[in-house]
Amino acid sequence: MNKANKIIIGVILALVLFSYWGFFLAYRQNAPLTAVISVNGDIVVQLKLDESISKHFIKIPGPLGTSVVEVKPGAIRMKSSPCPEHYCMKTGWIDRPGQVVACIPNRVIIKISPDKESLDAISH
Amino acid sequence: MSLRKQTIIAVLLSLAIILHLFEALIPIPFPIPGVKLGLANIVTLLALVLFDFKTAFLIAFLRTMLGSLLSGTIFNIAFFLSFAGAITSTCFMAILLFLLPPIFHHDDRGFSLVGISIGGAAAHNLGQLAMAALLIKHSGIFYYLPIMLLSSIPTGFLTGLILRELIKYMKLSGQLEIQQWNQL
Repeated sequence: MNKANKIIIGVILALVLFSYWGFFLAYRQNAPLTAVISVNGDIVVQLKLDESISKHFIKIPGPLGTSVVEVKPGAIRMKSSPCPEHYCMKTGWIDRPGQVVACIPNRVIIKISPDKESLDAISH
Repeated sequence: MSLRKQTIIAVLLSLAIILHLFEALIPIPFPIPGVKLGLANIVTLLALVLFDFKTAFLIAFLRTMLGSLLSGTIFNIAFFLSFAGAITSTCFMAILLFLLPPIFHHDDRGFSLVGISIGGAAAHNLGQLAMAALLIKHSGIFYYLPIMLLSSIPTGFLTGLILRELIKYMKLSGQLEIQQWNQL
């Protein structure tokens, strides 16, 4: 292992670290997430989950009663629901584009809408 | 081009195609698509050592065309990736082999075959990713860059070692006198 070979391995390792660091910085500040709450397919609330909102509750009336949605910066969840099984509440906080909390009995769907850039998968 | 050189190029080309096809059969122990050994690169570098850039380029070009044709991937995305990678790595290895030695070449301070092979593997991955970004039109593909570059060190090292042993064997068996090869 002479000097020139060490240089080439060193340059590649430096590129690895540099690119890793670069992408870490570039993709860290994501666009603010947008949450959409719909009842029976109709959008009733649409809000940005950015730093400007404080932790609060939103009451959503549905066919069975009132669902309570809790919102905080960057995440959203179903706090309480009149449905029998509470699957929606068990889903917990969602915080990534494309994630969904669904309460079928009370017809309430909470969805974080995907930003246009992001792809789920590419297949050829 | 003499008949002897043509014959040797044909043998090298068929060797490269066989390695290209053989490589597709080896399962990769980790789930990162695109990481592979790059065995066919051995032949490209051998052609660079024995002949010149033009010959090596010809072999790399024909190898990706014919290898993809035989494996049934011609003109799909995998073909364009390996094509871009092969061209980039051939050019980069030629630069390392022909242009840099005058700068570095005091006694044994130049790049060894292993070093050139590692550089070629890194260039292959870079070219491949650039082509992938071009085809998919989404820069997120460059997330792969650190992994691909890191993987090029062990894979390039391995192919470089194989080539070093091959050349050692060719020298021992008297089949390698580089000056003589150049005059073919």
